[in-house]
Amino acid sequence: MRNISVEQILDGIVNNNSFIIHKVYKKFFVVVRKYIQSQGGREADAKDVFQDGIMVIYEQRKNKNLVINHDFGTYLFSVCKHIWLNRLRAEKKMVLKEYDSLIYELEKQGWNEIIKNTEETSYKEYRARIYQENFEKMSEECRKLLKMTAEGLSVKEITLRFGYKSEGFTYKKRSICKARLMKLINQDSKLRKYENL
Amino acid sequence: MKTYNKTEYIERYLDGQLKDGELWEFRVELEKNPEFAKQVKLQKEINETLSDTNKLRLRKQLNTTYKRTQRLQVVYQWKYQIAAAVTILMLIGGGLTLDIIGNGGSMDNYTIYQENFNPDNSLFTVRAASSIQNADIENAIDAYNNEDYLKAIKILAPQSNNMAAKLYSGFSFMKLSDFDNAINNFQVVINDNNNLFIDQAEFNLALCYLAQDNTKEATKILNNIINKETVYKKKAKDIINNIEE
Repeated sequence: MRNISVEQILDGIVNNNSFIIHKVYKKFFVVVRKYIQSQGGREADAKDVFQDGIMVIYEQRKNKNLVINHDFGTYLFSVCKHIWLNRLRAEKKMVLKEYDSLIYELEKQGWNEIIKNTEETSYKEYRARIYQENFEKMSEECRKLLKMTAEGLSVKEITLRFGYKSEGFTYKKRSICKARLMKLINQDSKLRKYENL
Repeated sequence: MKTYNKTEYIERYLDGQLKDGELWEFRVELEKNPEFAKQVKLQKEINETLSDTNKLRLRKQLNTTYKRTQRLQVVYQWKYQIAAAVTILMLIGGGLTLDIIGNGGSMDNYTIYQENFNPDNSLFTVRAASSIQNADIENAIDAYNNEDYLKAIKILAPQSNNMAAKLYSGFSFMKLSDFDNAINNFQVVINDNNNLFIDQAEFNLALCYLAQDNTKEATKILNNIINKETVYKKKAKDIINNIEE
């Protein structure tokens, strides 16, 4: 990462640049994993928190034009730490004092706005990840159909693209796919884990 | 009410398709039934998630990268174990050497892809071969050179019968790490079987499969390239030698 600037990393995340993402993973995941495992978390927790951290940064950069004047790694680590402690707090596995001291540390660094944004965004990203994980479990036909619906294509257009016999059939097929997805998501225990966040 | 009927009911509400009477009933239900309200919120959030293609792609990319780093870690651990075994053997047997470890060993598929993906050389072929009069191709190549790959894809999309456009769409999708769409475009060029870009399309198709960690499919295409007399023959051979067992 020696020759890659913080700006290049942030733009790489927003533009889904595979080279940058590969480098970010290679360099920083180990540190986040080590921290989470030292706090009683598992490999899967580390993976989720790290990915949600990147998504939070994506949101902050894209919609709030995030600028990092420090080292990118320090920032990413603070976001991930914040996400993890917030989750521990929601699971009541952590005393409030520890969480407060992290907030105090972040405030000291002038990252108040970031604390607020991370809290708002990280749970949204957590839920979105669960939706996507379950979406990927669906058949290709259902995935395409639901994606087209979400992207705003009309039932008429979808009927034509799939070559279905009628719009009524498309409605029914869409409902079945959506109901199947809702069932998968509702059954996902991870979704209920942080309901109180 | 069947689950999918309820789902469709909510979907029609979110689409703004409920008629006045239905809408009134829906709102009453929404107010008095918290479970129903929760389902509506959930369905709305799911739609928002699925409509954000950039984020879906980024999450997919993060997952793929995670799997890759995990695989690499296993390979490194394996190499360390071999190294330890070799050291012991050398201590016992004296002078026994094995050239298994180090730079001469296998590389991971993604690194091979990154090292070999270089469509810039193809640019000149495309500029020379495609009718220079085709302003869209020219504009798309300019967008591509300015790293505005989405713009390039949009410009090229209507040119469904132009194989240069298909090749460049493929490259643009590769730059965006959307390998499924890149594969679709290269397949069109190859299936057309009557253009100047088949060799490039085949080679880059193999690279797409490597990026997706589909060694089987990549090897099949690379072996096919080795059996032909093209500029990619040597490159294909080198990649085959580097691919992990």
